[in-house]
Amino acid sequence: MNNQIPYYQPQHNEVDIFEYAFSNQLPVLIKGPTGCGKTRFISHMAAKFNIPLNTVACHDDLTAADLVGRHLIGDGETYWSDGPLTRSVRSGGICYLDEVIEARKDTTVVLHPLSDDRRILPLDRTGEILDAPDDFMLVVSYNPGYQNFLKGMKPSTRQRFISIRFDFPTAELEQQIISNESSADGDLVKRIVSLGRALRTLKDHDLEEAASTRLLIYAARLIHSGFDPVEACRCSLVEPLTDDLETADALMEIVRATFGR
Amino acid sequence: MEEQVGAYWHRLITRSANRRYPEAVVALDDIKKVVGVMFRALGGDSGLKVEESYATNHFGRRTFLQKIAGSDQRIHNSWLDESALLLPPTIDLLPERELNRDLYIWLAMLASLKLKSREVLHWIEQNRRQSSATLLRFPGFADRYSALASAVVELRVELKTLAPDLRKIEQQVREIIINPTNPATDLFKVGDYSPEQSVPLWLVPHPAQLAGDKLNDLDDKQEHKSKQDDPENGENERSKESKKERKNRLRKAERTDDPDGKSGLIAFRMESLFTLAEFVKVDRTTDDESDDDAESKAEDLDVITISKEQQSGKGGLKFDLDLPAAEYDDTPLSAPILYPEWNYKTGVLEKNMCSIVPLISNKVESVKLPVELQSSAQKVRRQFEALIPQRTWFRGEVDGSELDIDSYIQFRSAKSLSHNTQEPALYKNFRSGSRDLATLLLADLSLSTDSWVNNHSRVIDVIRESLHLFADALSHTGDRFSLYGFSSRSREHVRFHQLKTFSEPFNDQVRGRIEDIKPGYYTRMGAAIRHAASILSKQPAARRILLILTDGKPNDLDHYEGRYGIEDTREAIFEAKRQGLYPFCVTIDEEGKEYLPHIFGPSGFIVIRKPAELPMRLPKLYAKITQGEA
Repeated sequence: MNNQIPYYQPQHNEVDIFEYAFSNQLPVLIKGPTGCGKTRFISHMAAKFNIPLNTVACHDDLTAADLVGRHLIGDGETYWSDGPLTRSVRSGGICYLDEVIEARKDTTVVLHPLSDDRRILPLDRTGEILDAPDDFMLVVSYNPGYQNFLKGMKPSTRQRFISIRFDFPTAELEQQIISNESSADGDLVKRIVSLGRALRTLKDHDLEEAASTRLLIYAARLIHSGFDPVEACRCSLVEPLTDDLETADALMEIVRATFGR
Repeated sequence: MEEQVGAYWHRLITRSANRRYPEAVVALDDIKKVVGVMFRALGGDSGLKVEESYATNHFGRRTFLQKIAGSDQRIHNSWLDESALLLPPTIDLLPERELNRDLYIWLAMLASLKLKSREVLHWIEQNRRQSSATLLRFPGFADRYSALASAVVELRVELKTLAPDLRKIEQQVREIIINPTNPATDLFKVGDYSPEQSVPLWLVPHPAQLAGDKLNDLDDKQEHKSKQDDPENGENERSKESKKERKNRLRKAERTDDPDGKSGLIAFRMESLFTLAEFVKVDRTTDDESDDDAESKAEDLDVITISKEQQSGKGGLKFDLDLPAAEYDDTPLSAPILYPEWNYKTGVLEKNMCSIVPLISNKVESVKLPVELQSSAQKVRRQFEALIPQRTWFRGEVDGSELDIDSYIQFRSAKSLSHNTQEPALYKNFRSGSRDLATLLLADLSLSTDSWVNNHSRVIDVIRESLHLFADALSHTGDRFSLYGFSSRSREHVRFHQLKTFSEPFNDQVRGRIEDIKPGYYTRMGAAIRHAASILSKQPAARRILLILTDGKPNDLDHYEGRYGIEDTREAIFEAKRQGLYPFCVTIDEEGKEYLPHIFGPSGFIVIRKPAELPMRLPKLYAKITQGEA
């Protein structure tokens, strides 16, 4: 594991909350729009506590066996193979289920005994009951803004977590983050941030999703390494946000007004 | 011959007077969306629409040729009012297409900026500050701005043709255009002044306000055509933005006081002939008849004089939409239920504003599915069987199309550990699951549905067919659903027609009620949505869908129209979402794209261009939005 702690710029008191939750052995739920730093936050905290991090990207075909583990067939015998969740419970550390809302609801039920004060993981196929060590922590995240018309989290699952809401950072913080991530200079970063903030106001009316900090960092990196600013914004900001030609046109006008041409 | 010469002359003189570039024209229609998105992105109010401005007189001087040609008396300016950003319908002022397009973009950028300033600034100074701030904010636009600015200055009257005092002002205006970041002298901080020519780069104050300013200034000049009797009043009047102005928005408007109703005109002056252009202060309080050819008269008028009436003319409107007598009307199901309404102006949810009257048709005839719909119904049913409920793999089946490796391994490992095994269920199968869904369909039954969509059917017929097919398809899938319709007559009487409840089975009696729907009254959407949401939220299903079927904007007899109605509906939708419902709107209003994103979000609605397709599209749509639930 890399000893260097990944860069993370706290926005509010989320670092404190996380530390308290960790020391009290409480599971944490993080919600926020895409690209606002959820995943980075977790890897930062894991590095800070110096514990391993197991990430599982959830999808709608994820079964409970994919999390817990299954029997495999070897040379004339079957043997048990731990899933990522079980591995994490055995070894300690943070088990991070990214976009947990994507997983089917019956799948997430296996988290229930782990996420209350029992802190156990029963493996009914092997008959084991694993007790989570003190440094085990369950973290799940999801993006509440997605238009999944028919998906949502079971209230009984939601109510087992300490919940932290993430949002895009303020302009000053975002400038700091972007200049740190892309080592671009102040003026460029300032323009990119003001551009990003302009695009965010279009959410829910013209755009489905707000421009993420991640996209802004991409743009800053491209421009900083010498790519044409307007074209960089087109491919890193405008095109990822919309498929509609006219909307893209309008966004490009804003880009051009910001960067000249 | 004379006429022909006249026409030639007119063409010649207007062409040389108007320095326009029709080959470089840019129409607002082509760029509306771009301008709208930019305006919102840069901080403009997302509730505002982008619209074409109407022509107004400009008070500046025209060039000599323009005067001869009689052109350019009225020009299209740009301004903001309470519900829209108004821009010229076309711009062909500048020689290049790019420049004309940039001009639109510049106006959108300028309008989106909100400057906070306590002092009341002259509008030119306001424009200067706004331009300056916009340029600071978008340094990348500077080059394009200076190109625009120099092109605009090119068009201005020559300095030497102006009187010395005007020349000084004109020079300053030019300076501001070229370099708005320089603070101007005190000239524009106080007092009233309009530049000799309009400046297309600037936003003007609201025309009514501008006209008001003018009136105040010129009240001592008798030759002015204003009949404003009471200039002191102007200040108050101007500050109150009236809706009438919006209604008459394709005309130039001016204000006058309303007759007081006590001193009517008694004498009739036989010898004088009144022209249409004159406003005569006649008290016509009792004159109730509508003017049949008002439209053609309005066409002939240069100025339409309107006044602020003390009492509103409600009396005339009431009789044509009265409720039917109780014995002919549908049967009320319960006492009226009160719902709040959102007032966006005050930002308050006003309690008990609307009363919902649940009704059920008193005709209880059973009807079979109409013959002409039967083949379509068959088709839709077949589509439904293929589309929904979505099919998934079921594991651990005793019989199935494929081997379930997981269960097999489990079975083998259990066996090798010599555990007792029951009958193994080692297969997986692909079939549909059960769906935990409840859908409430709310149909708009307002009078506007009485209009014809083609030679055969009205909107209401389309809605009726849609209800038939939708209900038929859903009753075959086993999804829980209910059907309601609504219309309204002001806030005291929002009619909520029950066609099918959740608990009722879908039968011929329900079909009879669907057959019985008829158009009437208005569309107070907010209250109807609130009531529908309260019914739907009592359903135990995990996914609850509120499907709204409409043909136009929310509106009602009273102030429930335009932005008020839209904002109230939006609030009702927010409330529904908070209750865990999924609202979705299906509309046949082509303009729906302009206001529906504001109410339902970018993917919360669909506009169906051909209303006749609605009956077939609706079930498909339902299938689409409910897919994904295993």
